[in-house]
Amino acid sequence: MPTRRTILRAGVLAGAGVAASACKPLSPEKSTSVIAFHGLRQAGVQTSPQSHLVLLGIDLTPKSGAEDLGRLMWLWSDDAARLTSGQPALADTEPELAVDPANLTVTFGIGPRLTQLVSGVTLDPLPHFSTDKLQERWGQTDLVVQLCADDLISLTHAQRMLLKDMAGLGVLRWTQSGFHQRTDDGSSGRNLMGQLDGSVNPRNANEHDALVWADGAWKHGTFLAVRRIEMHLDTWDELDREAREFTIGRKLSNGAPLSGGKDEFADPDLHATDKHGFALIDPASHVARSRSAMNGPQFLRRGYNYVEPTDGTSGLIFMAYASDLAGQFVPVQQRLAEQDLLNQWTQAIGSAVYAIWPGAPKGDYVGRAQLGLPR
Amino acid sequence: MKALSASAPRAIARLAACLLMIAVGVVASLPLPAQAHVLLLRSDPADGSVLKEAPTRAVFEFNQPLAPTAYVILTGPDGPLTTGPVKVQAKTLTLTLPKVTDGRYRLAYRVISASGHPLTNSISYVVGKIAPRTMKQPPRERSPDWIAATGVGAVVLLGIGAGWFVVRRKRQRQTGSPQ
Repeated sequence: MPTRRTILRAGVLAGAGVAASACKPLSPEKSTSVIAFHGLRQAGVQTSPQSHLVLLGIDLTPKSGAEDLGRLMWLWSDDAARLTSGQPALADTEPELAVDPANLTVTFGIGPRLTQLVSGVTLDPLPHFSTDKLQERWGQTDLVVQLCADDLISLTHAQRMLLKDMAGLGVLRWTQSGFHQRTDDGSSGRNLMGQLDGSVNPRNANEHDALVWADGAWKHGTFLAVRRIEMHLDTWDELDREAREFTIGRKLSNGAPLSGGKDEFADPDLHATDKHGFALIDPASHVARSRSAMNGPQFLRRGYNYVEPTDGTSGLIFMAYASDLAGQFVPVQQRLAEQDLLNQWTQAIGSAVYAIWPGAPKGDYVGRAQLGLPR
Repeated sequence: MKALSASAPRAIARLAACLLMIAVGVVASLPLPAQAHVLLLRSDPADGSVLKEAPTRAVFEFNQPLAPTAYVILTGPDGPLTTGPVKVQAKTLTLTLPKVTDGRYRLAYRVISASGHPLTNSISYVVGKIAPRTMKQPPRERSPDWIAATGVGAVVLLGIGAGWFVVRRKRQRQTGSPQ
């Protein structure tokens, strides 16, 4: 957290540096709020969700090729490496805003059109789901940048630096801002419908390796489906608690399945029945419909709530990370589109898919190796 | 003394009316959106009916339009039986019933109103002549209406009791009779 003291200290430090004509850069003490940018895999995927999200949908300017994309990734990687470590970006006009990164992560991905520039990687658009009412303004773009942090100042500053350095190379199509409820006890944050969201997620490194991270040509990369889901909270508010829990198949208080269990992580028993013989978790409920034949998580869900300031609509920026979207995410979404009691109060209005680059080691930039460009 | 005894019942009545109004107000302001709840209005066969011949179909009529998702479970003397598919149309649920022998039957249903409220309950009926109570009845579920009615009753009774007590004490004090 950027306290007033750390900012003041940085200011004093900067002042002293200028006075002594020293070339010492702004370098406040490194806190635990730094998440390394470089590595085998990009940060911001397996990272426990930070409080704030800004997702940028960007198109490459027409006639741009692999080299232009490489140039943009080089600029962006440099910005991201500096900003995530608490250093100002090159030619940063507001270096004070970069002092505390507050767990800033910057994660880059490319859409289906640009994956054609990388051999051995294909990314198909999602099939049409019968419940979709997609709006063009939240549609597919060439590039995605996911910025997450626990502080809006550092997040907003990073967003501005990246967009500034994109000039001439990319065009911003949409911005999706969201917020996540951080918890200390390992429980999932709540969405705006009051539910604990993300109970069925990979929990350890082995599950992440098996479900999230790709192999082969895209080794250490992953794939992302972004779904903008509007929630109809006005009619949801008319339901009493029993009806809400029935719709989901879980208790609102602690997320425990209606079949029993002490918390959200208890295994739902779809065969448990009431005294009449009906399933305690209704077969059409969200839990029953989203559950696959194999128990357990199918992909990583990294959801952020949103409220659209202009019209007051709200919902969920649903981000699913999987090593194979067609094999892991699509079947679940298809089942939910066929039947899910929750569909009455939710509506997908935006959809896009991206290939999330593998990480870059120190001294390299994201995407270079995959694009086959020289160092 | 005469005037007092004449006004006492009126005071009690006034107090009771006042408390009744308060009770109604409290119940009406409960957070339950009672009008949103789905209720069974009538069924054919009716709950508790005794039929000479086995019905070939069952019809349930509710107070609200229903969502397409609905389920039934028919249980006879020998256990669960397969019914025809459940058809939902507006506020009505219809299904065909299998040919059955004489006995006591229970038809459990789960419906969801178009607004999203679930209702699970059952009806039971007897086909032919059977000895009473061959099948255990499921315990009746307490409905919010039942609770509300009991609540109003309790408050009214309490009010009448309290009124009677107050008037009695007042009278005792005025007539100077000892405790």
